[in-house]
Amino acid sequence: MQNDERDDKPDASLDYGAPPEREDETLLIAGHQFGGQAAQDAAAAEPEAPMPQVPSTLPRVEPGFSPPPAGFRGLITALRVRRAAPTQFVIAVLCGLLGFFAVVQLRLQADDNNLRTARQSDLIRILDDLNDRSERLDSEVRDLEQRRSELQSGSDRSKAALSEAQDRRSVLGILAGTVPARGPGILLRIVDSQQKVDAAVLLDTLQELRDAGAEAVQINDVRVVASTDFLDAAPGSVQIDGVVVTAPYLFKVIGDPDTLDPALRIPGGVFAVLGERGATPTVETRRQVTVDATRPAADLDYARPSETN
Amino acid sequence: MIGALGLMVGIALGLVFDPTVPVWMQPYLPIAVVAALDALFGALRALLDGIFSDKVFVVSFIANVLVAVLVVFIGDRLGVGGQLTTGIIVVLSIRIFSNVAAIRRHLLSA
Repeated sequence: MQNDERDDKPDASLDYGAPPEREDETLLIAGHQFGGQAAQDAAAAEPEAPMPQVPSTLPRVEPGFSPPPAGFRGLITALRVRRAAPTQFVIAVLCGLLGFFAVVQLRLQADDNNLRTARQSDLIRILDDLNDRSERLDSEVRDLEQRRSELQSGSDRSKAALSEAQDRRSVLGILAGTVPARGPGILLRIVDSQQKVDAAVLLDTLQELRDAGAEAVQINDVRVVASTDFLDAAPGSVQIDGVVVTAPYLFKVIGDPDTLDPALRIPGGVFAVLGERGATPTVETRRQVTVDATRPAADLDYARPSETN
Repeated sequence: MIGALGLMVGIALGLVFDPTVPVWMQPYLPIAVVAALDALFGALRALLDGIFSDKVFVVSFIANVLVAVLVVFIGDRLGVGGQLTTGIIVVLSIRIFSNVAAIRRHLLSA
């Protein structure tokens, strides 16, 4: 690295280098010479000798002194125990303090969090941040709660609408004859022994039943609805909604049996007419009548539901 | 040698006693430690340069720590403690790096 070269200049050497004329220095250098007593004596013999002022990093040229060993050898020499001067103890104490407090600081940092070591301004900033964040989260909570209640009420409303729509669909399906129906009612059997029962008589019978509150009606295998038509066919048979139905005719009627049965028997009513034509009607009251014939739903070409009721 | 011994003893004491640092001291402790580390690396470099002096090391060690802590303390009083801490850490780090570079050249000749 080019920048490192700058460090080699003498003035760049930091303030721990002592001028070479110090006594400590000579002792140190004597130590480099493997601590021989003779060398120490030599150093002590000329402590006043004028030392040349050479830059510290240049090789020394003093007589009697070898240049300071560099590299690993120098380090090993420096680590060798020398005489215990008071300053050595001070150095040891300082190094000990450094190690001690470095460990203390490391322990401190490794502690739970570093809030304890933070400055007051930093703490205030952290607190502000936390407050802001908590406010944001609070408002988010409010928004979400509002949305939840909206969704809940919306789902309640749509659930109610759905169940209402399902109810109406089944009612309308029974009325339109698109779904099977069951309930209390009567079975009316007309045995047409003289083949004189025609469409008009059957229609009268149906009207009488409707007047009496019949809700779903089936004649043999044909579901009867509002638009059902009756046509005369061959004797002993009637064409209902285009389907030829032959005697005997079986009416499956859902409604109040206690109303339907008397309605058929009123004087001059259905039974009287049928009797005149030589037919034998029989009525059975049932707690459960199943109207299982259905007809397809009519597709409307023109009529559409109106928005206003 | 005796310095390395002291360092180890200090580390051991810190590990054993695990003292609690008073609150007023907490902002200054890391600065003091880094300043002392700087002094230590400078001493190591001077040792390898052959110009090490016990007295200079002791004085520079104490002065380094005191000045660093004092500057941060004044900065705290002036309300720029955080910035001054950063500045001192940067300066000390640069010195440590250059010292380590010199030590590296001595030991590895590279």
